Amino acid sequence: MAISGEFEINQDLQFQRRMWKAERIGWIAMAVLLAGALLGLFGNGPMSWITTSNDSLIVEYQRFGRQQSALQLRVYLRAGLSNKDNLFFELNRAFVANVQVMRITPKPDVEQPISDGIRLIWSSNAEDGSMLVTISYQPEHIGWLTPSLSVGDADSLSIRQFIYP
Amino acid sequence: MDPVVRSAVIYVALLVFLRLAGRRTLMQMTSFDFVLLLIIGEATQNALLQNDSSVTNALLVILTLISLDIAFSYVKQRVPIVARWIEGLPMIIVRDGRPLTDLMVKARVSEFDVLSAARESQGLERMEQIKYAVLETTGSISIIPRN
Repeated sequence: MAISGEFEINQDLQFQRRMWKAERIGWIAMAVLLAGALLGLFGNGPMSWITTSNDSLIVEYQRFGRQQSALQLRVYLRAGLSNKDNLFFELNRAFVANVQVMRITPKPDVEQPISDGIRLIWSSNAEDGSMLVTISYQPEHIGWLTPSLSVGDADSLSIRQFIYP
Repeated sequence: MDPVVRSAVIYVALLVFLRLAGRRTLMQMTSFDFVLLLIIGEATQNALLQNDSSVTNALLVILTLISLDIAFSYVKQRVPIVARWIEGLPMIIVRDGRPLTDLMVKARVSEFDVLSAARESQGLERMEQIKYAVLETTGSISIIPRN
């Protein structure tokens, strides 16, 4: 306690300056967080959206999401996948177990349980045109969410999302 | 997330944010500051309770917040360095009628703030009537007049 003259006060200018320095560093950290948030570091921004693909699917998804807040998965089925007027793809168990699906557009005609998740089937006369399916869902758990999508026995396409609390 | 963890995270985050805002920022209680605090409360509320409106959840949240408050006050009393960092220290900003400009700029306090506090608390009219002005840890300015 530094007593200033006859005035009893626990002023400490050296500490005060250290605190101001810490405060400035804190402000910089806040600015960095804000900039990151605008860019999508915590979901919903240009840095968050990402596209991945294989021979049968193109998938657009967000790298970052938040628990119990809506996310969207855009699945483009490439042309030529239609088989006896049926189009389908599978979502694995990691997806089914960890998210709450809100809406699938267009609505699948059949949601068929399979050993590793779910198969979504549409009867389609899209001929050879490609089709876009959007899935809206809410992640139920914090941490990595790593679902994968596949069409029949073809290679599956894994995606990786980080879910914030 | 567990309500206890959730409340603890929010408690600490609010402590850090309000600390970084500085003493003077939210503590002057202009009507704007008041509305801002209400909005901060509103934003916090959803995260604290999430979709769980059970009595148990509410009680756990309250229990956590109050326990943390007790724990912090205990630690602050025992470990002065923690109290310093959390609450800051008072600082003399006017001495014998002379404003210590360099400190005032850093603390974001103007001479008008000091004069306004001098009028309100002591009915003083001029800077030279002030013996000491102290920026307290609460963000208010206390004035000691010259005899």
